[in-house]
Amino acid sequence: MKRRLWWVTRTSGRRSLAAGALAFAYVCACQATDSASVDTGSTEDDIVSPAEPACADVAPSPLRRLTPEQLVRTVDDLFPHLGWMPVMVGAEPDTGLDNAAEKQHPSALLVYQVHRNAVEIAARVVALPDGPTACDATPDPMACGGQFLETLLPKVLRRPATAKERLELRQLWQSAAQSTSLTAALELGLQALFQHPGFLYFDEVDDRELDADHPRAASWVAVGPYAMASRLSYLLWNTMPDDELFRAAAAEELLDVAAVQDQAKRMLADPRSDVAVINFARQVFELDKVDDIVPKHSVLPAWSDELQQAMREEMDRMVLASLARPESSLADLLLAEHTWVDAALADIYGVPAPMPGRWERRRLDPTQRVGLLTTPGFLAAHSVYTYASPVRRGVFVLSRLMCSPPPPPVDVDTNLPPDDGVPKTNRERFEAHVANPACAGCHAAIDGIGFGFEGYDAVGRYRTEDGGYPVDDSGTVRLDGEELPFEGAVELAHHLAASPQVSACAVRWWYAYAMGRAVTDVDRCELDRLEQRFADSGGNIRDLLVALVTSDAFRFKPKEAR
Amino acid sequence: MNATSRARSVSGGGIGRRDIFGLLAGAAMWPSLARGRSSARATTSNGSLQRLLVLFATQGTVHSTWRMAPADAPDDKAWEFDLAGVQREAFSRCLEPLYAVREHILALDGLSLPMTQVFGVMPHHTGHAVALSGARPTLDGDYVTRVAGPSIDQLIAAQHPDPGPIGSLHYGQSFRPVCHDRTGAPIPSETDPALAFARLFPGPQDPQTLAGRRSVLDLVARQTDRMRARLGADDRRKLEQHQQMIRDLERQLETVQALACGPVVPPPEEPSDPVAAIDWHADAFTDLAITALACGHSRVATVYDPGPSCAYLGLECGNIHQDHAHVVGLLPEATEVMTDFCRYYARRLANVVQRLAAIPDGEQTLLDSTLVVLANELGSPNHDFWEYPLVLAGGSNHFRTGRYLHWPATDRITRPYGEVLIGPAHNRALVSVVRAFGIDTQQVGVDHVTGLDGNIDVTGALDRLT
Repeated sequence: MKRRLWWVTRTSGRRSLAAGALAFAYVCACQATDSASVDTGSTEDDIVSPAEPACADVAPSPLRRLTPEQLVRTVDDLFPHLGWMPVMVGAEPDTGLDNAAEKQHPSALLVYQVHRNAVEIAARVVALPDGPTACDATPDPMACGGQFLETLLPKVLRRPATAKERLELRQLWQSAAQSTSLTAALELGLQALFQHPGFLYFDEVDDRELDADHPRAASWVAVGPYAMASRLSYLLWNTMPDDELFRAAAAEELLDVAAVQDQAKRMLADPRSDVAVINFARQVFELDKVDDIVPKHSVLPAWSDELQQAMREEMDRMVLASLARPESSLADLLLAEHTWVDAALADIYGVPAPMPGRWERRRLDPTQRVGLLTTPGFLAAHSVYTYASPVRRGVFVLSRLMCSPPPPPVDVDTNLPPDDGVPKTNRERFEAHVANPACAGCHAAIDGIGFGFEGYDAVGRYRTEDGGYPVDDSGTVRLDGEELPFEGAVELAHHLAASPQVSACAVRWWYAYAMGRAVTDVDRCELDRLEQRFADSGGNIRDLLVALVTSDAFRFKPKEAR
Repeated sequence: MNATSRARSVSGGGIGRRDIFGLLAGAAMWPSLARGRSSARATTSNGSLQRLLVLFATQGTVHSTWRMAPADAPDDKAWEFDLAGVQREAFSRCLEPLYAVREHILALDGLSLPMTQVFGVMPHHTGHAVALSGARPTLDGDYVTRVAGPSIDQLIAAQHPDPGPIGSLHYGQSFRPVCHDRTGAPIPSETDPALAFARLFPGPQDPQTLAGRRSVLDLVARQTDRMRARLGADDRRKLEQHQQMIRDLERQLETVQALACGPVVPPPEEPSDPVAAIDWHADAFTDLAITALACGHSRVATVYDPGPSCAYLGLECGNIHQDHAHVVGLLPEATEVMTDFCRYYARRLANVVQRLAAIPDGEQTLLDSTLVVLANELGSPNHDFWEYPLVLAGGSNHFRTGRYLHWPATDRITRPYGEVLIGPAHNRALVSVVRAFGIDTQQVGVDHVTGLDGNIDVTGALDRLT
């Protein structure tokens, strides 16, 4: 099964191991502490209004662990020249976001894979020229080796190590060193680091009490500065904190909402945030589905592996161009007027082809195409291999863009009647759903949207005729309590882009991704605020992310759930 | 006198084996009464079995081409016949690949999978979740996130007196999870045969290296325990489970080394041809499962096999699921394709049976103490639930193999656009499987499903299997 590994995208600005260790030396000097308290008073920032009272409650933060993508990127950040990627099972696909705590079950296979990863990482690290074997050439190899491990420990834990943790590590490798080589002993120490639960899980140990005058002082605690650094980095970069975040955590700046805001803005301006945007988009917008298409060549003669890959790349380019710029808005993604094509896609679009191997930006015909929903990749991935599927396209819009998923088809035969040989359009075949009373309840909503995409075949090619008959791509969508008629996907996209319901849905998805858990009723108050801010910003994605990380829900947690 | 009126009750409801052979006497390809007593492999003690191998199939079974009902065999009565005397030509097309191993199989006809209807979300989703657990699924939208109890492999592994170093093995690229742990959480599968091989056979390691790794795991387990103590109740449970698995791995490192397996070779490189890769995957994972069961790495293994592609079946590239499975019964060519799909699994089962039968185990073979279950996510390819044929193989130390058994449909239940009669729920087959391993239980998963005439009891083992 083809699956592109987006999480292995390399970041620029590699640091050597030694440089990374030195830069992190200040962390080693830190001791874990919970003695400080948090001043949550308002600042000059524009995110938390002093007049805005805290929500009545915040939801608990369940224990999360690294996703497979986060593991790969974290190891890559720690050792950029390791030349090996760990393997780890993650949450089941198709069941939502990959970082949702409730779907991260432990398993024997996971524990074995973590162990195997650690053994392999350790073996490779000791073989690095600037790894611990370099200690052999120093006057005191034991001291040098110990320093290597103890410098690495807090970086692996993403927080200062406790005295007990340092002692345990020291005892482990020094005990081994009595009966084996220093290198082998340090290798064991490295194995311990990469199986440490504080590496695998988000171990938030530095919660802080709130100031006594905070209205929620009795029931909330603040997420500690190191935990906040990890929350920020894994949300906005999908990898571990950088040196600047660790510095800010050590200085306890991340207890301050204005500092969190500044860090978020810095991180969103960094190209590393592109990876996180793509990682989010590939899940919410089901971009990976393109990889699973198995075409039937007699029906889709234009299909090729190159086209399949190009479809995915086009969507990634559009997502990045639409969502990763400072002024990006959700509407930019839904109403993008330009796209990027290679030779294979140019044929689908019917536009001049670039030179082989080249990608070029093209303006879309505004009467035929607009934004993500009319890309061949989206349309092909939401087809049934040989024919366009108004059901799949409609269900996607309902569940992913409107947060109004139709109920599953209980007690209903989902099969369409067989083709009776009478020529008809794709739409006419699917209209059997609406004609059947058992199906009509849901399919009126699903197909009402999905029929709007009838202007595109199963590979996303624009069409005005289907089987020799004129295409009817009229439909209706119920948005914000109002039934809106439309003609074709372009008009549908404009309805969606202008809808408060779609805007609120985007907030909900980002919120679940940021919190790493399912949204609960407790979140309603915070969601209302974020939805309002998102709307006020014109749907600006960066503003939403900054609002998210400065929200109470992101920065606080209930006391009793610790 | 017609067949039905001549029937004699079996276990209070059907006709006897002798009777059905009487019915069949006129058919030359079928065993006749002259063949005398059943040649089924009789058990001597109904002893407990030692190993479970689940081959998990997809897309359901075409009942019309799976069924082996002799002429005039009554649907509304229980009946059975021995397979030993049945000629190859009389085998159904789906089951024909099992002809060579017919003395080792139990073909179960007339069962149902009502849970996909009663707990109806998308049948594929529910079917994957309940086929081996029989338990109520928890839903998140269309998706099943967990079930209310463990799958049979976990029940058996947990109570096995000698479970082996690795509690259970799970192989294959699955569409959705089919095995669930004691908390009902899905268990992931290994999808890379080379990595799976390395887990079973890590190679010789000196005692010092092993001791070092165990000391690391011991430390990690203690650190996990410390973290657990700081957490809320739900997270504590999660880390308790995690910590236990670290302890298990700690023991496993040494015990795996101690297993005596003889020479083993890693799986060959995956072929670049996608058609050849289908057999390669299936062969690699069944080889690993059989080897692990034979060596004692584990007592239970599940191999998920997504099945052949269109190209594998000689068809133009396309999608089996959409192009063929959904229109079985409507388009004759779809029935043909899905029959070939079904035959693929029968061939794989026959291969596994022959492999196990070739491995000596004291005075017997490994097959005698190993039960192979060919399970499926669905009843029929087009999502029907009232016909759920199952095939068990091996396990002759407990089951009386070499037979085809039929149960009548007696319970009314709703179906799309109406109602239908169903036979025994598959939960009862799961009870039979679990009991074969010495586990004294009457129930796997739910204890009833709701029928049109009240609750339908789905507890208790199936009759006539032993």
